[in-house]
Amino acid sequence: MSIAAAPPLGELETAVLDVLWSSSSALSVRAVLARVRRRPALAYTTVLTVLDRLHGKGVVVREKEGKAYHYSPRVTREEWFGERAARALAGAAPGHDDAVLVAFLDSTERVDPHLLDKLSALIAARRKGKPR
Amino acid sequence: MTAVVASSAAVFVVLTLVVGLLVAALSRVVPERAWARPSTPWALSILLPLVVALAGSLALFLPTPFSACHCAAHDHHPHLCFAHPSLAEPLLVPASVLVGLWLLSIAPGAVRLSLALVRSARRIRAVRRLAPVRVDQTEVRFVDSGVPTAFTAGVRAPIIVLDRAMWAALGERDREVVLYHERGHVHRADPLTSLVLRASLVLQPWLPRSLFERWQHAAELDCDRHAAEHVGDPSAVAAALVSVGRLRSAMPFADEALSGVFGADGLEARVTALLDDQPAPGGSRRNDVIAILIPLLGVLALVTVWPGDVLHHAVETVIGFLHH
Repeated sequence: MSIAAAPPLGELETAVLDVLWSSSSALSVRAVLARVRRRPALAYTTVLTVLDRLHGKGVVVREKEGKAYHYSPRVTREEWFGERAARALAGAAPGHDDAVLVAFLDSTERVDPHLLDKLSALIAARRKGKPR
Repeated sequence: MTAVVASSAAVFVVLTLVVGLLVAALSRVVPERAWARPSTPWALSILLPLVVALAGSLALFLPTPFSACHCAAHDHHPHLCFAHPSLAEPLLVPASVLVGLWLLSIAPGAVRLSLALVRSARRIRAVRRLAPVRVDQTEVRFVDSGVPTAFTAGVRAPIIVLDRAMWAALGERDREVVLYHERGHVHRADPLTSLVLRASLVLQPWLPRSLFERWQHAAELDCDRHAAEHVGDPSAVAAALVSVGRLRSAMPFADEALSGVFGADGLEARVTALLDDQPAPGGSRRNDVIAILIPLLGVLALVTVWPGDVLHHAVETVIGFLHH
């Protein structure tokens, strides 16, 4: 899964995902409902909807056991937060300006394709030993 | 005593401003393409005003090796002297106002930098927890960053982060270049230098940001050269830059994100520098040493030779003139 492609999660989605991360095995909707600590308590259908949404976003996987689905996270907590942090550091958002990061190419730099063609021609000429 | 300390701080601010404006004026004279490398002079251009100001303001209070205390000799101006702090009393108000104005001018930048550092530290900690992968004896973290990029981040133990999609799209040679380029940043401790320079710029809001950008550019050129040395072909590094540029140009960026620190010029200048086969890094390191030694000797001279009563008395006279 490309975690970077996943949209940001809401508070409720994060809470449900936290429950799945804390469990060593896949959980049913009812098991998630029992472990989510929120006031007022969530309804079964709310948890079902949230899990369905997380599945739709590709954040969790589900397998049918008997009549019910069991859900488990697709990535670990470390992978999830690490990848999202890396995305923020990479400066996908305009205005990125990080004091302790140096990039191969400026992260917000998009180059004119014509310039790239010109530079490619220069490199090819140099490799063939032609004068530039 | 408070007056002496406030006056010393005011002298620090004035010296930083004067030397900073001098450095800014000099930097305009140096054509960008004529002195792209090495990076050290550009880093020093940002640090030098602070170092000179610190040395100069402290030197004012060192016991002069050439003459005795002259405080008692005349009283037509205030004296900056730890032996007779009461003589500096008239300077307390103007010095405090000056230092206060300086603190006010640097406060917004200091807050912004501090918040950015806290945010970065949190993100880098999260990325560091990702499982490291060894590529060609280098520990890296692969991520889906959403941008075809490679970067080095972190001050104490920098980590190299590579975008999976970019890595998959690059050829073997390009990958090698990217890896050695980033290793160059780790070797040079560029994230740490970047932080120090940014903090220094915050303390000197009158210094042009272009000095930092020229350091960044020079650092990139040095790392390109580092990669070229390892792959044995500068044109391979140029080709890798173009390859990453092509991946980048296919990205759906928002319009306002089109120009980076150097825009397209950064890439073009780096490719041209590599194809022009600039001097070997040995020369660059020698230049770095010379560039460090010259200002250090200047500071040493300022502290040990010049202060005597000449600088001390000159500063006091000027302050006295302004005061009256």
